[in-house]
Amino acid sequence: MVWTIAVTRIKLLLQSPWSWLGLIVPVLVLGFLDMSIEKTSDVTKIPVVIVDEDETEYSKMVIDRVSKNPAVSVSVHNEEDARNQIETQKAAIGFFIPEGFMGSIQKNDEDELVTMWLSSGSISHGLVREIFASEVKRLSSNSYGANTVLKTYGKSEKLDAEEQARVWKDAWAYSDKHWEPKPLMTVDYKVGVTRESSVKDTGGAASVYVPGMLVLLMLFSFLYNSWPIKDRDSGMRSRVPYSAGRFSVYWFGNALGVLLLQLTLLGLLFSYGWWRNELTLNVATIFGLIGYVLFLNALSLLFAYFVHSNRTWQAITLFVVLCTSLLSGTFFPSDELSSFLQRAAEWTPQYWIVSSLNQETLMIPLVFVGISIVLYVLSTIKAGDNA
Amino acid sequence: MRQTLLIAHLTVKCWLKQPFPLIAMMLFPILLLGITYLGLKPLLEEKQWVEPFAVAIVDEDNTFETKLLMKQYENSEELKNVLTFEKTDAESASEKLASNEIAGMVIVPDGFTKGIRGGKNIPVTVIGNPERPFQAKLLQQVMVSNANLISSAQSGANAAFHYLRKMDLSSKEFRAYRDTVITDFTLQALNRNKIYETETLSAFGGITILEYYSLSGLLILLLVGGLFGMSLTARSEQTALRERLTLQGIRSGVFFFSNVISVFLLLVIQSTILISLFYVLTKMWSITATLMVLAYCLGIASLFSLCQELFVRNGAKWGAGIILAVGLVATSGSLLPLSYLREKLRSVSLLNIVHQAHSGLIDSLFVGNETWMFVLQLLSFSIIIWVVSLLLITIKKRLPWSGQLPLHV
Repeated sequence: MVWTIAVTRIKLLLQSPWSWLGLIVPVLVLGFLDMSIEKTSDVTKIPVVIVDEDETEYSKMVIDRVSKNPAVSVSVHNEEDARNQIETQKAAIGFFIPEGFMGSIQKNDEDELVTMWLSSGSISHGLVREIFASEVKRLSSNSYGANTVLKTYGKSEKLDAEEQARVWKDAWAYSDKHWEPKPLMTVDYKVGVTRESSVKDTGGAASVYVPGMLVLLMLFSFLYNSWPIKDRDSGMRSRVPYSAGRFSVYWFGNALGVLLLQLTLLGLLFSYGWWRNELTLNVATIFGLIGYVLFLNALSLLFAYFVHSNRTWQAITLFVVLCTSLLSGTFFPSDELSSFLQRAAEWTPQYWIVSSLNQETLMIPLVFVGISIVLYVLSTIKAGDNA
Repeated sequence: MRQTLLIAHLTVKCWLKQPFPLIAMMLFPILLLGITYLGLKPLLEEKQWVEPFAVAIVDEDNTFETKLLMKQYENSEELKNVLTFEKTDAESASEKLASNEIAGMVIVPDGFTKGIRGGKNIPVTVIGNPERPFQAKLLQQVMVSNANLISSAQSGANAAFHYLRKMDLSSKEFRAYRDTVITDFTLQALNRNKIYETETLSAFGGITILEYYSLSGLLILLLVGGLFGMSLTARSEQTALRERLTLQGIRSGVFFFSNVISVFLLLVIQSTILISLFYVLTKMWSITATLMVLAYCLGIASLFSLCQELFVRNGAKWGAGIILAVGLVATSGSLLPLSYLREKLRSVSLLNIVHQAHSGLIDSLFVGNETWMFVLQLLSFSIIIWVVSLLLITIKKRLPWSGQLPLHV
């Protein structure tokens, strides 16, 4: 009986050819988004303008080395153009290298040497200023080393001016050679939850595929589960005891039909994600996603019981989907910005499923399943009373 | 005109009969804003990006240099704004990482000091927490730029040692020299921010990030309000009413304009709430800005009414509306400054109503340029949309698949 109802529900939901598209379009949209963002991530470098009034070996070296950094795209302009670029937000940050830059660095007199221009909308200047500063500091430390050598070695050996110039140059070169082939201190960055299991960071831009998939699964779960409202409107629900047998059979049968459709959608989304290497295929991931879908089904079913009109249902759908996606921190790292927002994120299912995907644990899926069972029982009892 | 107003009146009355969606629509932005504001309040007050997060640091080398480094990390004012270092051993750091208590761990390996003193590269391991990708990325950036500074300090110091060795010093003298040199060079490299003199350039005068994003929030929430408004005008009662009135000979254009008016009214109410919130936050508003927001509301109402006319099925309206809203926001430069967009998208944004409203509001509020140009521009958006819609309605009537009921039922 349960299966007959489930199959009928699926048939009803997939009545029109448009609803068939509903199963494929999400995958296509996500695939398209995924690819277009991947392509743009190479192009999205932070635009930086530099004005070189010094035009010496040092200033050219700094500009050259900064340009090689993969995070920025550097262009050199005169002062007026550069200011204009920042004012019109064509560049996010600008550096003005004044005349006498090289001399000041050699003398280690570099306080407020470089003027940094920020545009009102610059949000990522922190990174760029560090990149630029480290290149300037590389030259200045070389000079500092050379100056220290003159102060210590030069004094004790009583060098004359010519020898001093030679020693200074040698010391500078000695210091600079430490940067090739690799600087003295580098960072080996890995990602992982333990020291042993951590892996090299691939460095790719954060993907929208998994967050997008979680939101779409939620959206479709709410859209499909609007049947209790329709059935109430059409009087179907009150006729159940005379036709379909026990109420719980009718309720579960329909929920099962929706769940099967959701699982099909999950299957499609997962296969695409697996093919594009967005998701790894293992027991914890599969179990976690199935638990998530089950939980969404139970939750939307319970909500649907309380709602009486389709319009309210749409408002609630949008409300739940938008609120949970924004607060969960899956799209925008709101949960990492403050502890308050993190606590808010802990109330969203997306937060937990992402944790479970990261930790590859079976604990969170089990909790999902447990809560789902409670929600199913609750909605069945409530709705059964009412019928 | 009378018909249009009557239908708009009826639509609004219809909404009031079932107030829940209406209230949800009004409360939704406020709730979202409220939660975000509460969460970010400490950050806004301290003018910070992120609440300082914990990072574990494991020193397996334990030498004078690494201790100096730890001290630097623990005491640096700039770092304290972003993260707090806790010095622990490898085991408890791993435990904390696994239980998601820290954003990452830094391991200074055994032999690190010896390596850099001898000019050999020994990498420091940084492990980021995958559950906090944003904080982990920040930690990586902080560590990479720090590593560069330490590299420059150490290579300068190595040059100094190289010549010190030539000076026939006793080993005690040499060690004393060495410690001062190391300290001296590290400090010299770490005060990197002193090389900058900062100047904020802007065509809009000094506008803070908070003000910029509050404006964006205002405009985007009104856009979402328009989306809600569209869904409210697409109710089944209204469809039935429309079918019946069409039989009475009322033209589709009338329905279109009544939709525009009713959604516009809704947006005006919502914008009053949002503007007062904006005023509380920034203490700034003006008459031109009010006109601009009104013109923007009219534009949004027209845009979604057009979307309503374009599609027959509710699902299609929703889908198109959401895609339209996301597209408008993405190319408007209100979330991500325009300089980050591709060149092609930048030119598209000139036709973007959100972009125009955003730059117009910045211009009038923060530059004090009380220009009427932007108001006219925003109004012309609405007029263009009206013309397009009327054309569309005329064409649609002649199409067999238009979805409109034949008049001879």
